[in-house]
Amino acid sequence: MSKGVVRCPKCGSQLVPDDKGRAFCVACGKEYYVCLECLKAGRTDYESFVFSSVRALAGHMRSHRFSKDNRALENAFSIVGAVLSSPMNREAERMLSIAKKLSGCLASTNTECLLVALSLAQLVVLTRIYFKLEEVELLLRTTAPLHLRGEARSNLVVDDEVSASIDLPSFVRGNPWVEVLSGRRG
Amino acid sequence: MSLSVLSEDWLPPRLRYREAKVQELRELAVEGAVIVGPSGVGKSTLVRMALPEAITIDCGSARTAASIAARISMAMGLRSRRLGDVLRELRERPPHTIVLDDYTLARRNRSTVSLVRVLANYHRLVLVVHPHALNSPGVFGTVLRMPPYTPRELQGILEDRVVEGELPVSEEAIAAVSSALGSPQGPGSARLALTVLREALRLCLRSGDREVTPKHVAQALALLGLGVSPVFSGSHKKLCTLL
Repeated sequence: MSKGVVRCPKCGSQLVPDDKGRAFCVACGKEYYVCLECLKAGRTDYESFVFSSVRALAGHMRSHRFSKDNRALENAFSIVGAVLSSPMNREAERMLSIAKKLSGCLASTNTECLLVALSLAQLVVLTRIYFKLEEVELLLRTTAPLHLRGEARSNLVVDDEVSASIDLPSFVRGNPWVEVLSGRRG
Repeated sequence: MSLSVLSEDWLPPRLRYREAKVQELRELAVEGAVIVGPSGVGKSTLVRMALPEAITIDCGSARTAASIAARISMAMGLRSRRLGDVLRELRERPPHTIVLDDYTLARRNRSTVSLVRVLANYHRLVLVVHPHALNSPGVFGTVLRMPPYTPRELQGILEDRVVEGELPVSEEAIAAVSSALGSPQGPGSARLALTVLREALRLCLRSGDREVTPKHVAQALALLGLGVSPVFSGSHKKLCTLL
């Protein structure tokens, strides 16, 4: 796996860790445990990631798990953030920031982190739909009376025509006085 | 047969070839001292023998100022655990002898140096360091040097352990280990010599042989990457000239 070389934090001689991160210092006669994540990242402050006990390395690895999960979450949030780039979603963004804080407490593993991120993305999309629907509703509420008035008038005309053609008695049909009398109304 | 005599934790009844250093350290520790020497030359054993009542902190496992302070606090029975509070309490307490073993492995930043200064000013501080860290910040006090072991000294130490543990090791095997690792050809480390002997014993038991021979020693040296001994040529010779 990694054939990187690190320096012994005590004497400074070269250590070649094996696949599990164990390295034997031929000068000190001591076994050291190297963090392979840090080695891959190219760190050179050997004191910080070369340990003399497995327990110390285990403690150090916990910090890696946290940072890896955080990175995965940040990526997920950046994708969601791109979706949310329109300015109308200020409310949704506020929700997202709250959810971000919450996910820090909820997620303990990488898979959980991704699940939380996905759920948040869904939540955000649903929020967007909700706000769109609210906008449509508001638009309808403001413009509906005007439409209704126009519709009513046209319906009235149609009704007149229909009634003129169907419902009127025979003595009214085609009577020129009907038009004269209707002109005197109102 | 007792294999515990080859472990690092085993404390020999006397520090062979370094008996004078035990008394020297007892005298120096009153004012504070720095024990300097390469790995496996008996620095930690010297401290354990000369200052058995001292509070010893292993900086290999407690590397930061906060963790060192917490351990000192626990050993002294202080109530506070936070660095600042411990520093304040340490100033008020009667002087203790505190040993920071493997101080080379500690993160020698500003807070560690301030902790070391408080310990040096208000208590009796003994630092155990590798020669590389002698000039690093926070290392001050009268220097007590521990030179690497010669082949003859290593042979004596190994013989003592073999007799004590009733181990099936031949004299030739002991001679092979000590000539390969004794200073100035090798690092002069007793720890390394014991590791090689332990590995050779393991190989011997696995192959079903009656006792450890130079053949097992050669195999153990090769297995541990000491066969060609590239490291001894450069840094260790430089170290030996320093000491």
